[in-house]
Amino acid sequence: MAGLALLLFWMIILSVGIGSVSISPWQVTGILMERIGITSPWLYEPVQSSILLNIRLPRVLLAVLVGSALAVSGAAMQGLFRNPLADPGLIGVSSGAALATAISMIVLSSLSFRFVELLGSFLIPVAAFLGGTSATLIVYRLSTANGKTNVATMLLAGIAVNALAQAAIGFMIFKANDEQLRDLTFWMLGSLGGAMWESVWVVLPFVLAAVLFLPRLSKGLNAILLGESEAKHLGVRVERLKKVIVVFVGLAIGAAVSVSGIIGFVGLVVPHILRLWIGPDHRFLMPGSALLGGVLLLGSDLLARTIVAPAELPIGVITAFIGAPFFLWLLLRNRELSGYL
Amino acid sequence: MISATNITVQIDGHTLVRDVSMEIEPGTLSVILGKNGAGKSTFLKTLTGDIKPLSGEVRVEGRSLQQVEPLHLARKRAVMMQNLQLSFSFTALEVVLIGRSPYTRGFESARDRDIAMECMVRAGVEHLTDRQFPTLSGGEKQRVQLARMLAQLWDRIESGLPSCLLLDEPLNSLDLSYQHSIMHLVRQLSRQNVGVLMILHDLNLAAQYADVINIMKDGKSYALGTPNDVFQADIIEMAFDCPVHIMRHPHRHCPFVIAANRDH
Repeated sequence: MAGLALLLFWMIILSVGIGSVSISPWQVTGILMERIGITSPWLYEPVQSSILLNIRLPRVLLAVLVGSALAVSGAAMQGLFRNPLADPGLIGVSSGAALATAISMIVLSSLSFRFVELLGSFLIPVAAFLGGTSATLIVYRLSTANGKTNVATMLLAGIAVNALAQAAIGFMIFKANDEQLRDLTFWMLGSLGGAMWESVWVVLPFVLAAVLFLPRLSKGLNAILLGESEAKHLGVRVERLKKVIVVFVGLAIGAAVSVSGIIGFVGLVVPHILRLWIGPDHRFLMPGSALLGGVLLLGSDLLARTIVAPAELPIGVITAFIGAPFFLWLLLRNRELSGYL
Repeated sequence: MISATNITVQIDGHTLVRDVSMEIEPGTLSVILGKNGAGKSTFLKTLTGDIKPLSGEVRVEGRSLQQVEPLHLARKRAVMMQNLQLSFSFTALEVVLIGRSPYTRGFESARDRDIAMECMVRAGVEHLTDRQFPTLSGGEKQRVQLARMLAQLWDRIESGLPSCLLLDEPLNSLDLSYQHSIMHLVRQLSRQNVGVLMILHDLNLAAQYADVINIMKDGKSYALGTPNDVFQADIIEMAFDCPVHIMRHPHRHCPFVIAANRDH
C-alpha cells in the first residue's frame, strides 16, 4: 500500500514533467516549493512554471481523481453485486451519468433558471450524479427479487439501460445546435484535455468523499461476499450498506463522467489486478484500488497525450485498448479455473 | 433464548408454515425433521429474520427479533445457511476470520487470529488454513463454515454465557465420519450453553444426538418431543409417507429407523 502511494507520487512528479516542454522532477519540486514560499536550489524558466501550474498539474490531478473514483467505485460495485465482472460502465451508471450530462449541457444550459445560475459549474456534476444513481437504482431494482440480486439479470439490465441512455444521448446530439454539439462531442470522446483547475475543484469533493468513505465499508463488503443474509447474520446492516454504496458510487462516477466523459475498463481492471496480487479483502482492496486507479489513469493519460504528439488520443481509447484484452483474458482464465477469480 | 410462537408464513399466496411454535434453549440440541417441502427451511428462515411471518412472533431473550440491534444479535446468534456461493478467492482462514467481524473495528487482532485457528482445529479443518475457499470440496466448505460459526460465538461459549446456533442441513455433502464428527461437535457445543437448532434429513443421526425433535409435515409441527417420544412407527410413517421399522440402536439404545418394504 505504501509502495502504491509512493508509485502514485512519483508518477505525478514524473508525468507533469513530460510533454512538449519538458520539466525535470527537480524543477517540478522547485516550482512547487516556490509556490508555498520555500526557495529551492533548482532553477527553471518562467514558461515551465506557467505550463506546470496552469496546464499539466490540473490535468494530472484530474487524471488521478478520475482514476481513483472509477477504480474504487468498481471495487465497491463488484463487492456489492458479489460478482467480479461488475463495473460502473457495465451496469449503466456511467451512461446514466453521461445522459444526464448531455441533457444538462443541451437543455438546461439554454434555459436560465435562477437555480441553474446558482449551481453554476456544479450543475453538470450534480446532474451527472442524479443520472448515475438513478441508472444504478434502476439496474439494481430490476435485478433484485426477494432480496437476491441475480447477476445475469443485472448485466442484461445494464446493457438495456446503457442502450437506452446511448439512444437518448444520440437524440440529444440530434437536437443540439452547433455550439452545443462541439461541447458535447469534445466531452464525449472521453478526454482529460480540457482540464482546468476549475474542473479539479468541482470533482475533488465528490471523489474525495467516495475515496475516503467507501473504504470504511470494507468490513461489510467482505461479509457481503459470503451472501447478503450471511452478512446480515454477522450484524451488517445490508440494506443501508447497499444504499450508501449506490449513493457514493453515483457521486464519484457522476463527477468523473461530467468532466472526462466515459472512460471504460478502469473500474473493472484495477480491482482485478489488485485481487490477483493481494487477495479479495476489501480493507486492502479499496484503498489499493484508489491508488492504483490513479496510477493507471495517469499512465494512460500520459500515453494519450504523448504517443501521437502534438495531437492527442482520447484517453477512453487507451483504456479500452488495455482493458478489453485484459477482460477477455479474465474470461478465458475464468473458464479454465471453473469460475473463481 | 429464541422463542417462536404460532408462526405462520405465506409466500406468494401459499401457506408454507402453519402455526408452528418452538423454543430454542441454551444447552439443548433441537432438530427439525420432515419431508422435502414440509416448511423446515422456511421456518428456520423465520427464526433468523430472513423471512417475516404473516402472523406469530419470534423473540430473542424476550425481545422482539426486529428490535434487537443486528450487531448485538450477531454476537450471540450464528446462522449457517445452505449452499454458500463465494466467487472471490478468500482463503479458508479468511472466511473463518469474517466470523470475528462482529467484534472487530477495522482489522482483526492477534487474539482474533488465535480464536479462528482454534475454531478451525475444533472443526477439523486446520490443514485447510491457506487453501482458497472456492477450491474446497463441499464437505470441506461445510466444516470451514462451521468453524466460522464457532468463531462468531466464541466469546460467549468460552465464558459460558448462553448463545444460539441455527444450522440448515449442515451435513449435506459430508461423508459418514464427518457427519458424526460434526454432530459430536455440535452436541458438545450444546453442552457448553449453546442452544442449537438444526435441520437434518438423517433420522438416525437425529435420534442419536438430538434432545428435542420437531417433525414437520405440510407446514405444521406434526410431532414434538424427545427422540423416544416422536420415533413411533405410525408418526414416522405418516410424516414421511413411508413405511418404517423402528428398532433399537445396539449401543446407545436410542430409536433406530429403517425403511420397510412398501409391498409388505
